[in-house]
Amino acid sequence: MSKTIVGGFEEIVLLSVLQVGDDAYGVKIRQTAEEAVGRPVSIGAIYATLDRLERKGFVTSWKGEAKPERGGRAKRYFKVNAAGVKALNEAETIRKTLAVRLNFEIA
Amino acid sequence: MKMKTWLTDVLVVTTHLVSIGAFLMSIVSLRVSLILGLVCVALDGYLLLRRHSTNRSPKTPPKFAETFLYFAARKEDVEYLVGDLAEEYFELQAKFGVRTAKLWYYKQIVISLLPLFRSYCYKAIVAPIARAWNGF
Repeated sequence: MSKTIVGGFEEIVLLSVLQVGDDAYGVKIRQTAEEAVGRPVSIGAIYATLDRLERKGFVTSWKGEAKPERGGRAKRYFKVNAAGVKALNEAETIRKTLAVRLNFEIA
Repeated sequence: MKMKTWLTDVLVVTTHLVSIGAFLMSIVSLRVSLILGLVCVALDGYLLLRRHSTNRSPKTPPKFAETFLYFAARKEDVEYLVGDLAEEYFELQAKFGVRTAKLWYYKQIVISLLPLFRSYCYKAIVAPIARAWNGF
C-alpha cells in the first residue's frame, strides 16, 4: 500500500485526466470532471488538486505551446503516471473492502 | 456607443444632483436622506464601472475579474489559469453570447479563489516550514 491515499476529489481529477488521455490540460480536465460530477467545478480547484497530486508523485506535467485562442498563453498538460494508477486501484480496493463489511452493494 | 456614453454621463450628473438633493433633505428627514445617499453612491459606482468597461472590447474576458487571480495564485500558474479561462470564455461567447460568457467567467473566478489561495498558502508557508523541520 502506498504512503498516501487519494481523496474524493483527487480521485475524480485523476480519473478525468485518464479519460481525457494525451491531450489532458486544464479546460478538458475541468469539463470532464464537471460532466461526471454534475455540478460546477472551478478551474482553481482543478489546478490546486493537480498541484497536490504532482507533489504526491501521481501526475506529471509539462508546458505546452501558446495559442492565439488563449490570448497567447501556454497550456499545461498533465499525465497520470504508474504511481497514480496504483493509488487509484488502492482507493478502489479500500472502498470495496469497506463496502463488503457493511454489506453494501456498489454497482 | 456614443449614444450610450452620452446617456451614462447624463445618469452620472443626475445621480450627483440627487445626492445634493438628499443632503438638503437631511435638514427635513435624516432617514430619507441616508437611504437616498446610499442609493446614489451605489448607482455612481455602478455607472463608473460601466463607463470603464465600455472602453474595452466586449469580446475579451473581463480584465477586472482576472486581476483577482494574480493575488490568489502563484505567478507560474496564473498564465495557465488565465489561458484556460480565456479559451472557455471564447467558446461560450461563440455559443451563447457575451453576457452568458461573462457571467460564467465571474462565477469561475469567485469559486476558484479559495482553493487557489489555500494551495498558494501551502506552498508559500507550510511546505518551507515542513522542509526546514525535516532538515532540522
